[in-house]
This record gives sequence, C-alpha cells and structure tokens, in this order.
Amino acid sequence: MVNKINVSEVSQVLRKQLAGMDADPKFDEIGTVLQVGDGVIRLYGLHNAEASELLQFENGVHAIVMNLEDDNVGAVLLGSSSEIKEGDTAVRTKRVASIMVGNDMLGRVINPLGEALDGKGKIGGELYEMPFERKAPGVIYRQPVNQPLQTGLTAIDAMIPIGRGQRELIIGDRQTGKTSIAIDTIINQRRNFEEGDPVYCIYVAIGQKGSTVASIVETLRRHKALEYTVVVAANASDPAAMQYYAPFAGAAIGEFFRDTGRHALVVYDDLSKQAVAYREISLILRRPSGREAYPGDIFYLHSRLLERAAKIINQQEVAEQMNDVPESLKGKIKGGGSLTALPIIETQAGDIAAYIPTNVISITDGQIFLDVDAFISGNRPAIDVGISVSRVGGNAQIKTMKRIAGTLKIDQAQYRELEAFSKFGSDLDAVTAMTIDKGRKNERLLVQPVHSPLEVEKQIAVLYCGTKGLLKDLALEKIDAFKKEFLARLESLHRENVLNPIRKGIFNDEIIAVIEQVAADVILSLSV
Amino acid sequence: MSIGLIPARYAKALLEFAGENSNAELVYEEAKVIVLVLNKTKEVNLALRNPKLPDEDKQELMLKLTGKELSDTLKRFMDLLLENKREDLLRQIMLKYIDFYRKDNKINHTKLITATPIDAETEQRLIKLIEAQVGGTVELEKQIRPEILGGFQIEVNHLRWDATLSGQLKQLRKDMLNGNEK
Repeated sequence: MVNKINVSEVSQVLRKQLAGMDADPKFDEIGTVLQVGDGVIRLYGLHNAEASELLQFENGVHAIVMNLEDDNVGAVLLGSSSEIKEGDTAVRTKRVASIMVGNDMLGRVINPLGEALDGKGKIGGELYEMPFERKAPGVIYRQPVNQPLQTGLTAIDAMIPIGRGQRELIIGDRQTGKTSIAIDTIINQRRNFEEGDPVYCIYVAIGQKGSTVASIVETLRRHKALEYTVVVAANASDPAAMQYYAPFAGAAIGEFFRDTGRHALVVYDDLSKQAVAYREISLILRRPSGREAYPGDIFYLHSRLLERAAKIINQQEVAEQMNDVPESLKGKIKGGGSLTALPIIETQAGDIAAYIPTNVISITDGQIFLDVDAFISGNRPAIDVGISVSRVGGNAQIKTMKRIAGTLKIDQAQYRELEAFSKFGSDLDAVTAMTIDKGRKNERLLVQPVHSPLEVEKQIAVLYCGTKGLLKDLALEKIDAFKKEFLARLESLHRENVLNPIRKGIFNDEIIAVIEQVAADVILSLSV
Repeated sequence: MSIGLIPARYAKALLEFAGENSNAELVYEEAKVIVLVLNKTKEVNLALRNPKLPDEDKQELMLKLTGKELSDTLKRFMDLLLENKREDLLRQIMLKYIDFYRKDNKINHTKLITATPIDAETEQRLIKLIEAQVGGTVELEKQIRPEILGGFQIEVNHLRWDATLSGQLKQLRKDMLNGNEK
C-alpha cells in the first residue's frame, strides 16, 4: 500500500492539511472507560451520546452505545475486549452505527461493518451510508405482494409460493436442509440476473463456522451466483455484538436495493443464533431477563428487523415521500422495489413451540417447516406440507402454476392421511388406492437434488403430469427417470413451442397436447 | 449494569451534608484522590465488590484510600455505604460528587497535555482564554506526554480539542489511505 502512494498525492494532502490546520478548533466529546469485560464497556462522560451511536477509541476499535444511564453509558465493543483498558478514552463520532453500501459490494464477502473479508481489498465505487437501525416503511409506502419470487424448488413454488416483499420463515432441526433451500433460491435468481431484471441477494451468516461460510461462498461462486450476491459474515469467533448487528447490516444493504427501485432477497442464517448473541449482550448489560433468559424486547428485535422487508409502492411521487430515508439516499428513491426476507430458525428436536420459533412464526408471512423424518427417508427438500404455509404468496403465484398446482397441497395432505390409515393393512377400495398411488408419485416428483433449481415452466410441465394422473401406469421407482427424460425431451425438442409459451403465461390445449404426448412417449420408452 | 440513579442520589446527599458541615471543598479534594486511587488500582475495586470480604476489612480499606485520615463527613458516608451495601458503587458516587461540586461552583476541570512543560505565562494565558470561553473558574491539570510529539491537547468538561502533532499525523495518514484507495 505504501508503495502505491505517489509524491504529488502526498504534497496535495499535506497542503490541504496545512490550509485547514488550526483554522477552527474541533471539539470531540469524550468518555472514560470505567469497566470493560465480555465485549461490553461502561463509560463515564459522553453526556450527549445517543442510542446506537458509534464510538471510536484511540486504537481504532469501535463500540456502539446501547445503554444510556444517568451517570454512565453502556456500549458493546465491535473489536476484542483485550484491546481496551480501564481509563481509555472513547470519542463520539456523532453518527449512528451504519454500513457503507454500494453496487460494488456484489460478489464480496464482508463483515457487518462493511469491511471486506475476502482479501480483495476495500469495497470501492460510490458508497451510500445506510444505518443499521431504521424504521420500516409506513403503510402508505407499501403495496401488496404481487410478484413471485421463484425459489426453483418445485415443492415450494407450487405449494408454498413466495412473493417479492414477503417474509417466509425456514424452520427445522439441524441438518434438515434449511440453508440449502436458501442457497438454491439464491442460485435460482441467476436467470433474472441474466435477463437484466436481477433480484440481488444478501446472505447473512450469523455465528457459523468460518469453514461453513467459505463452502457456501464457494457453492455460490461455482453456480455463478456470487455476481449478484453479497455475503455478510459474523462468524462464531466474532464478538457477540457483531453477530447481533449482522442481520441489521444485511437489512441495510437490502434496503439500498429496495429503495432504489430494485429487487433484493435477504437470507438471515440464522436468527436463533442472533437471539442468543443478543441475550448474551443483554445479560452482560444487566438488562432484566425474561423467558429462557432472553430480554423482554427479543420479540421487538425480530419484528423490527423483519418488518423492513417490504414491497414498495409503484407510484414514484408517493415512494419519494418515504419515511426515514437516509441522508445519502435522498433524491435517489425509486418506487416499485422490494426486499424479500428468508429468516432461518433452528429448532431443537422439532419443537416449534419454543420461545424464539413461536415469535418468528408469528412475525413472518408463513413458514416452511423441514422435517427430519422426511429428510432421512429421502424426500428432499424435506418440507412438511401439513404445517408449512405461505400467507400472502398465493397472490403472487403465476396463474398457470395456480391452475396446475392449486389442489396439490390439499391432495398431498389427503394422501398422507389415507396412507397412515392404509398402514393398518385393511383392503383398500380402488379410489383410495388410486389417491395413495398418485400421492406417492407426486411426492417423488417433488423430490429435487440440492443446488439444481428448476425453471418455473419445467415445474409446471412436470406437475401437470403428476396432478392429471398421467403417471398412473408408471412404476414408482421409475418416476425419477421419467422426470429426467421428460424434461430433457421438452428442453431439446419443445423449448420454443412449449416451455417458452408457459413462461409467458400461455397454457392452451396445444401445449397440453404436446406435454401429454411427450409424457406418453417417455412412459412407453421406460416401460420397455 | 443498570444502576440507574443510585450514584446520583448518594452523591447529592453527600454534597448537601458536606455543605451543611461546610467541608464540601475538603470532601471534593478527597473524592478526587479516591477516584484516582480506584482508577489506578484494580485490586481495590475488586475488593470492594467482593461479597466474601468482611465489612470490617472493607471499612478499613475505604478509610485508608486517600493515604490520610478522611474528613468526618466522608467517614460517616463510608459507614452509610457499608450499611446499605453500596460500597461497590463508591467510584461512581465519587465521580458524580465531583461533577455536582464542579457544576455548583462553576469549576471547569481542564486537562492540558503537552509534549514538553509549558511556562507559567502561557499557562496563565491559556487559563484566561478558557475562562473567557466557558465562564467560571478553571482547574488545570497538566500532563506531559512526549509521545504527542508537539502541539497540545485540551480536555474541558468531557470535551476534547486535539491539536497535537501526533493527532494531525494520524489524521493525515487516514486521509492519505482513504485518498489512495478511492
């Protein structure tokens, strides 16, 4: 870095410094550290400090004000506690904790302060200061969710559709594929990016192992998804304050895209760890603890974070008036943008009635529940259709999908119920046997390998075969082969006359006839 | 960490009581020494916070904090703290007392940090300058720190004016690094 500094630049800066030297005294407000420990400090002085204000120590370490008391200020350190001693002085920066966001952040791995972690140097380009804490857009600046956000996972896009601006919780035990659903959704946005209507993605890793984050980044890079993605990482070894602020940093980056009229998707992986980090900070700050030792405002923590996901109104003149617009974005607001949130919660032994899961379930617009048993039996994504729901996404689902998969969820629920009864071994009547057979085959059709999202037109074509009973003569174990062959034939022979029209929303008798013909041919070839 | 208004209440009571006994200034001087001792020696703080240490030992420690015999007012105050089990808040209470006393008597505590000692004339000029700016009297605390290289740093009532050479060099470095990476 030193080698890069050239002489003219040095003289220029020195001249500027000389001109400004002692021109007018600059007074800084200071506080003295009374106590330091476990990432939390208590300072004396700083009588005018504001909540969430950023403080700076002489050695460059930052802290954020969290407790304002009569005679002292409690703050959380964003660096190591060992670098701060009692008696050190911190200076008010007079700005609330924020992150500098810009388009050049895409493709980068950063920490919650916006500092690069990928060794590719400082984030360049034009940067905008976005505060961590910001009020969510008011009612009049929003509009109902009406555009789909395709995850590329047939089971989700057909039965639990997600719309742009929605908050959909992904919940389940450890090792049930929660992160995979989020990563697949990010990978599936590749097509939008290529078509020039990108959904920018922000993946926030909270309290994860460094190696896990590295492998996620590698997966995104391998699937060419990193180009439109920002990875915010606060690893397990980072201070609790960093883990606490990581989702807020992710939301701030998402808001930058949302408020400039673009679409963004933010994944918080996972909020249970953030809640634990917040509990740690709160307990050290001696805030009164409540259920499971979480502080009383743990619900507010998640609700204010998730409320920032929104679909902004399309009317430019209304959008411009949006509340709490950061200074740096003034004059740059564009309507019609959206921020979709996919928070992740890890349950313990499938207990969704625990404190944090119930909180987040009640905040979000639906949940995708992942079941350990389904995962083990190979039904991946291991979605438990019975308790998974999307409260607003139905309005955003594309019409053809709604027509084809409208009854799929109920059919599958009915199949599960009948299947449970059939285990008693009694003879089944023909209708029941048919329902069970169709349900089993549909279940197999919805199985999808990891990191291979399916385009929506292909999902519709496959689902058509399943829901219309075209597979009734095919053996269950041949469903996977059918799906592969059927899609390959459609892609190579009928891209123009079937797949592209479906994508445009056309689903007429001609297309149906081709699909049925191709399905019959494939079934015939597999039966030999 | 939420200790709320406790230190302020004790400090206010001490100030009023000391005022009635006309030794508020003496207590103020003692409070400054106590804060200095508590800031410098972590062990004393830990001892006062230790629930296992008997009250008698704590009392002995508290009475010897300044190295001299404490004023009667402060002795009684220490007893009160022990009785109410608030001895762990001694530092905060003393800090608050100092703040209250300074506010009541319009004293502006000023810390002047220089690289080399300054002469009496400059010191007087500086005091007059600050008094004219903030009003009241100035209580000057001087510190020599060669590492600031040159210039000076003044701290008045939790406000700091950094006019040191090292501070300017630091700023210069920051500007150059920022300018270089843009």
